[in-house]
Amino acid sequence: MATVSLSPVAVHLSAMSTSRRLPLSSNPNAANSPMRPSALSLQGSKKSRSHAELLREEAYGQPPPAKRQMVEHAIQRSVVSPSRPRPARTIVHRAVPRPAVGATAATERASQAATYKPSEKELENIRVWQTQIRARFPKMVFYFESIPDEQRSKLARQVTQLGAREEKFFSISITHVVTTRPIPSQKVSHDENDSSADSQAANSQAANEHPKTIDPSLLNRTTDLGLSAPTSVRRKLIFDTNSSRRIPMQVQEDAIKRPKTRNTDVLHRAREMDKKIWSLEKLQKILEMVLEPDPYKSAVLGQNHKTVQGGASTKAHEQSNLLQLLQNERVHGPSDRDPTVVTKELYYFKGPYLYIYDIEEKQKPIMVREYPKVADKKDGEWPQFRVASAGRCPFVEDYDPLERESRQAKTKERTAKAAVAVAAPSLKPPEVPPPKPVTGKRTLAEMENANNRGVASVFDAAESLDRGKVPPSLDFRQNAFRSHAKTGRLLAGEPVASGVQPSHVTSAIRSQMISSTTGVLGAKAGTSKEIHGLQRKVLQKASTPAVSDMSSRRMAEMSHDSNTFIRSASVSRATHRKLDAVDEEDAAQQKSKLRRTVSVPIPQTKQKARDPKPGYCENCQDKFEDFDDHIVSRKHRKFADNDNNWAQLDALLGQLKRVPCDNNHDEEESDW
Amino acid sequence: MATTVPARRRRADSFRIHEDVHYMVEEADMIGDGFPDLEEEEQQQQEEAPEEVQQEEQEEEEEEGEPAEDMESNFSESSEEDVVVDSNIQYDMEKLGDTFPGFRQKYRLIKRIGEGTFSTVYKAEDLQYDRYENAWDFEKENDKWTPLPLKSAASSMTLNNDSQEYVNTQKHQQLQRRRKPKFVAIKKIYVTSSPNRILNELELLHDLRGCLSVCPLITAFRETDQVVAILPYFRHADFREYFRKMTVHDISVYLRSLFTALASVHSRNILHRDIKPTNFLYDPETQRGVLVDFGLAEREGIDCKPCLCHEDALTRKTRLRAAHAASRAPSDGYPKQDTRPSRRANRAGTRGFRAPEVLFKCTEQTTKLDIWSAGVILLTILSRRFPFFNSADDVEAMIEIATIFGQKRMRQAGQLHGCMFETTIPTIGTFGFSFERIILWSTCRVDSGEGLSDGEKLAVEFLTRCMDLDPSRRISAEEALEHEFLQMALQPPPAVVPEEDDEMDMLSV
Repeated sequence: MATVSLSPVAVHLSAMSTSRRLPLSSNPNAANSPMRPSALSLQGSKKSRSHAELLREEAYGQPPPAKRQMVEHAIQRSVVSPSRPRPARTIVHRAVPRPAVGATAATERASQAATYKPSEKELENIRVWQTQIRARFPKMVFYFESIPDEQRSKLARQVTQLGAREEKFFSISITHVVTTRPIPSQKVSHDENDSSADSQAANSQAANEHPKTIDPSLLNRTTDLGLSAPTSVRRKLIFDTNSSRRIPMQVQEDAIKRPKTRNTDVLHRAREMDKKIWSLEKLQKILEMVLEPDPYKSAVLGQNHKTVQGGASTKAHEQSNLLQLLQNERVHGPSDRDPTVVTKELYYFKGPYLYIYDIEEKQKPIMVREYPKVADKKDGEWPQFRVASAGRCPFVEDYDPLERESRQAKTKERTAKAAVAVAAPSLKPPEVPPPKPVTGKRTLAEMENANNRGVASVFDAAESLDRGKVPPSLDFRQNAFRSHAKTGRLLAGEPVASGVQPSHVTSAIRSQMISSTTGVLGAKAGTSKEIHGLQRKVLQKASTPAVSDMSSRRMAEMSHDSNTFIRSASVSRATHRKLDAVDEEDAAQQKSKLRRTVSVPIPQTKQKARDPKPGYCENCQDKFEDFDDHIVSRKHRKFADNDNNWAQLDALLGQLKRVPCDNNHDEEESDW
Repeated sequence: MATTVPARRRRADSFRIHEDVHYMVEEADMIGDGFPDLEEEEQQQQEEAPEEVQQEEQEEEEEEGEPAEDMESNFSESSEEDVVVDSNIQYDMEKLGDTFPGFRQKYRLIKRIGEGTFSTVYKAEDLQYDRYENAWDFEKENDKWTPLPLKSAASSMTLNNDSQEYVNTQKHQQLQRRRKPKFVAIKKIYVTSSPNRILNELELLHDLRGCLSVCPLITAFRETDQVVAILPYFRHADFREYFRKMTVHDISVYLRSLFTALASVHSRNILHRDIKPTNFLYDPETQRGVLVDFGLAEREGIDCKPCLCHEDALTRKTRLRAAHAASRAPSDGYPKQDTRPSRRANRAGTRGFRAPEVLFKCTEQTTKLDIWSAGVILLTILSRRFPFFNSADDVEAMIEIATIFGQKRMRQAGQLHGCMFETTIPTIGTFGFSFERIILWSTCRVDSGEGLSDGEKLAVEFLTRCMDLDPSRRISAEEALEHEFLQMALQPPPAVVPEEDDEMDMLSV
């Protein structure tokens, strides 16, 4: 669970792991600080220590000053925010400004924001400030330091939007360093440089001891060459930080590795080079305020900003460290969790997304959907204005075989739409030549022979479905009765449209669902009813988001739904009717289906058996696989024959009788 | 009280059927054993199922219309007496005739004209028309309504109906009649619909009797679980056949008719919820239209919980700020295991026509949501693209709307209902596009530099009022009728047909 434990030990760990990131200058407990007691003095002599040892050392060898911090930390937190339901991340996204302030500030801000009302003058100031800062951005070159990848890319995007640029590697060209670590003061950094020069030998020793450490000389070279070995090391560190959010164990390891960069700290380098160093929070604040189009809101943000900044500046050094810790925790996730528990509280968006949630966050997200990342936004699978010939829906791309093909080659497959391709041709817009699969961007055929991605003909798709060991009856019936508008009434709808779009269905789960089964339909076989139901839900959802072609989307839904219905239908039939009859039926439908796949329209008139019409009975509150069977079932008849159920309606029907004309005295059958 | 007698009589009539039913029940028992298997699974779906079902109402009609077989259901009336081809339809019609004793003496089923989630609609001849008061038939004295070629009523015989058979040929009937046949639409409501749903629809229709441009209810009756509603049959054309050819004046007339219906419905505090071309039967020849299908309709304020959008702007702002400030959620991720309740709101309607407040799950929806849907129709006509919105679900619908309106306005729209709107979808711009631009673009006039005609500009202005993201600022049906654009319908059409539109037409076909 995401709640932060308040036990001293846990906080202790948290404080520890984060404080280990502090640069030497600001942390008297740093490994090579004279203030630090014995534990680390052994370091030099121990050439190979296990991580476990390190951990223990970290945990137990806690120097007094840090303890004081922790206690304060714990108190403060227990007073202000006794529990946090999940790690709050304070990344600011331009769409929705979300103030990144310490938890301490959050509550006071709440009351403040409620009462604070910016005056016109303030608003004007805000606007002026916004324009000024916007003007300055294009000259800025950012280097993000100790910031997780996801967040970094987001920030990079935002600053790029404002005309600034992100430099991946620390170099002379950058103007701003943004960090989550404490910013060394000017004076201290000089001291630090001196002392680091003094202890040059010790440093190199430490470097030898831990091969992953960034060698200062290498760092220097990096600045010169741009790309070299340390880059990968850097990258790696960032990556570690990233994953640490999910596997807290690594946080500890990370914390161990991290301090080793301290002597060649980028921040210190930056100080030396007179680069501006901003805290992540500061950048977020600025971005938030610049990108917020509503001046009222900006003003409120600004207001908060001021108080936070002001408060922080007056606080003691330890307290600013504390804020830093909190901030770090917010960015990197709490580091004091039970490391054995896999954290999965939040799903983080990786691709473009739409996320709508109630502002009080008391309810499930109202809408959430993420789309796969694409290089060119035209390739995005979300609805967007497309090139469409006149008269057609502007959100649906007209079919262009060449383009589609190249896109297919590019895109990795998601199979949920496999069945789509099979059934789609009959729904194609008229001018589209039949044999080409218009529909899903990925057909099952493509998925199954990834190498073979020329023209995925409809036949391929059908074949591969077979290969996927899909019981033929499922697949064939579905199509056979699809053309029956009546049966389509539950199939042709929009299963995903309702608010039940579950927030936990992520693309990850989706792809897992798919990859873990032989075919789309395979997921449904041989599972318990509960799982079956769940999977069906998942698959239903999974099927819809990505296909741009309307008919294919519909088909995806239909096929999933209908498959389920059919399966159950065939089960019950198999048990209650003669098997060979079923087989016959299947065979017949198989034939018709095959013909349909090639998109030869055949009249469906002469079918010896009516297709089952699945649906939902509001009266019995049951889903049924065949309408005609259901309405004669005992349960349904019991309801239907009970006049009490109809009393109200009958009362109304009584008023709806046709009124006979005056000249007509034959009233015998005039009731309707 | 008054109802008891007829009810009893009906029961007596239906005795024969009951026997049948019992017989079938026994058979069903065997089949029914298969059901328990399903039941558990269905339990999970139960709560969502009714809601889901609602949304799909009659979508097939317009959206699944590609197969030739379904084209028929789109009400295109080339020949009045099409032969029923599909044996299944034939079978269903036979069965419907059997369900009600004496049905065949009263109505002669002709063909299926539509099918929805909860019902099938047949065209039928009203054989006993002359026996009844027919207040619903406001075309009584006015024969242009059903322009049959061979209608010269030679015989002055009184209607003789005792031996009429459903299988009678048209010619035979013609001989027996002194007037041309009167057609009705018979709506067979599926027996799986709950009595409450049926009651709701019929009650609303009953309340709406006498409303202009709203399809009246002639009568309705029940036989055990089968309920049938008899409605007047309106001759109308398929929207897709005429919408591209409409001049600005035509559009004005069309919409005036639609908004007249909406004004009537809304004045009784009823929401139709499913305004779309398929549910507004329009005859371009007579320029008359009627609103049909109140299957999803509801009364305003029923089943509502307060929503922020009904607060005044200041209260809303304050509450938003408070919530915003207190909120700690990350903006780049969402909880994986969410135990919070989901927001529940009626979202019945047809995709592509749902108003933004419906998508935001506003808990206090108003009649304005119909105005939005009407706006979508106008957008469709002006852009000459049908459907204009093409979403598989609500999320896509939201993205499509956002593509037009842009993030900034969407965010404000969301906040009206206490929602945060976040997106990183690159094709959703900050400010979106103006309708003018979209229409120029949709009609391929961007490059030519050709602008909108004055009439179109007026229409776009009206469109902007209809498709206002804020339901409280959106124009009401009553106001709309006063709008300059809909006033245009009251003027005679311009003598010279605007060539521009015709040219457009040529280009876009």
